Amino acid sequence: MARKTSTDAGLIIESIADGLFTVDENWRITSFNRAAEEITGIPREEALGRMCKDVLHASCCETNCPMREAIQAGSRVVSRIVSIVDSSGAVRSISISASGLKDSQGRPSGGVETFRDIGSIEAVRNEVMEGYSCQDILSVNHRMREIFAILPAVADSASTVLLEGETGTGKELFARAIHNLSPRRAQPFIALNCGALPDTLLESELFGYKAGAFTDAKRDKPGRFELAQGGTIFLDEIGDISAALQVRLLRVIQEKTYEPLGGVRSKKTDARIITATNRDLETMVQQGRFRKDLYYRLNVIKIRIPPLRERKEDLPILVDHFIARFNAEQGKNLTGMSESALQYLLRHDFPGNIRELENIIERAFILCRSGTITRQHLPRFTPEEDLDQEKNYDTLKTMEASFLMRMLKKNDWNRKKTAEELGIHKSTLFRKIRSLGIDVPRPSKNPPEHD
Amino acid sequence: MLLSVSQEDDSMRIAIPVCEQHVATVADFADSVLVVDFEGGREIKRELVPVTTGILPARVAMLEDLGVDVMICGALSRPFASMAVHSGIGLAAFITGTIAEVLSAFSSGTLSEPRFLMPGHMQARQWCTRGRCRGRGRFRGRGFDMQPAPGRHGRRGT
Repeated sequence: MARKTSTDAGLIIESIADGLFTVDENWRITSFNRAAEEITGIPREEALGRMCKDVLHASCCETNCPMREAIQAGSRVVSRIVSIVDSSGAVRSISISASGLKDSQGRPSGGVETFRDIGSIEAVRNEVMEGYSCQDILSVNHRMREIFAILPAVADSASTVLLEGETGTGKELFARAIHNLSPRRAQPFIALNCGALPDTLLESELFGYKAGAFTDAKRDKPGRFELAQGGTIFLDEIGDISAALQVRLLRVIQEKTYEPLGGVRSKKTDARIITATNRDLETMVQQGRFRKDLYYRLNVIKIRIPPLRERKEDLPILVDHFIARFNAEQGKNLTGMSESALQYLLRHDFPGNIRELENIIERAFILCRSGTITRQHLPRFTPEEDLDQEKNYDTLKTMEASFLMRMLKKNDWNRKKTAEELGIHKSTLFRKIRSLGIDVPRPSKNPPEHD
Repeated sequence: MLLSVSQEDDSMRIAIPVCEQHVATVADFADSVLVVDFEGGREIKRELVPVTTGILPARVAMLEDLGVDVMICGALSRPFASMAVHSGIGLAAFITGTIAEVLSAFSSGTLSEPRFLMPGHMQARQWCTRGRCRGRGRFRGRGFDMQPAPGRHGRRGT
């Protein structure tokens, strides 16, 4: 009877879809089922008797072995996601669960580990995400998806591109995506932040210099245009360059030639120019602070990248993306973000955009050792936002006034837009503003653009 | 498979991704590398170098910058193997054991003994040697076996 039970257990272990192995107290494998063979690519006869780490080849074997943790804590470790290298050299994601084993006297006698290949689950998720991503950029927002749709055509042309967007919206990522999708992808991508350098240094960086052009110029130095030959040059913060440099840049775009500092011969360039700015170049042109002819040369294809506050529907996938990335980079296994923490983030306006979100998640990884990121792992935003949910309204009127203030502020104090968003007539809104005594400042001259 | 150090005067620099006193289970995830110099078949110097990057091309570039001729390691991913071989770094992969045992076996040419080979070693041999090695002189085209070319470098054991 006992033999039959043992045979049945063996059959069950063989037939389950999850990989399963057991180890003795010396971490040597004592059983190894068929699914484990398939996932690791190691035949059972090679695995039996070997140290489990030499068979599983997992990222966690030496740092935070789930089996060791389960045996030491006397509890189970459930669904920990790790990477393994199988016998074909492929890196796979698996979900591991482990627990300790005890003998008939209750003494520890090893452990059991089950694991599931989640590569197929990831593949399905990636397939779903395919329509919502372009290169390294993720979004479910309709405006962003419209940009994704035109990006291949933009990449195929050789025209200059102007990327407009607030700081932290990922302008360089877009520039890289255009380069990577273009026929120039095998050639260099050279990026330069024009706002980070003084004018004279910027000029020598862009165009290079000849030996003797100035003190300490002991040898020729190639400029970024020369380095980007055949590829793409990305000039960030283009709105910050001086009037003199604007003239030189205009000549490069028009004539495809430039002279290095101290040089007497012109050099040719065929680098594609992508520029970016967080300023309103059109207004700068009207104010005479940016050359009109250069603006029109740069503005052949303009892409406006919406700030994160205008595409908050992207927050959940961006949070997941950063958690997955930091998990991989830091060897951690955080499982996600709690619903209340996500709701808290949704109330924030993210003036620093994606970069700010990335920093928030990175900070949470320092404070959260395992499990789920909760509200306590997130920074306190402005007192107004932080207290928003807990605010005790004295009356319905104060609540309504506070809500209308928030909506007006969101729409840059534009009453017509606010009324449209609230689904009420603008006269109704005006009446409410008057009756609630809301002091509405004049809308700014450059309200947020809505494509 | 022949896995041993040159017994002639030539110097050889090997790298072992390590975890404490053992060869790291997976080279891709190791956070330090032991760099050991051999000259005339004898170890003359060793240094532990932290790996600060998780990006494979940067790891390979680091090994190249260190002037590594051969990497002795545990399991490794196919991209890592391919990049290393194409950079001219010889590979002795799917090796297990303590650093002392492995270095001793490498010196004496006994690293091919079954006790040093991880399960899956034979399968890995097939994919690790694929592709042409564009690497430095004596390790050119030598992928997995990483043995210096016969005739120029003597070797003990077979």
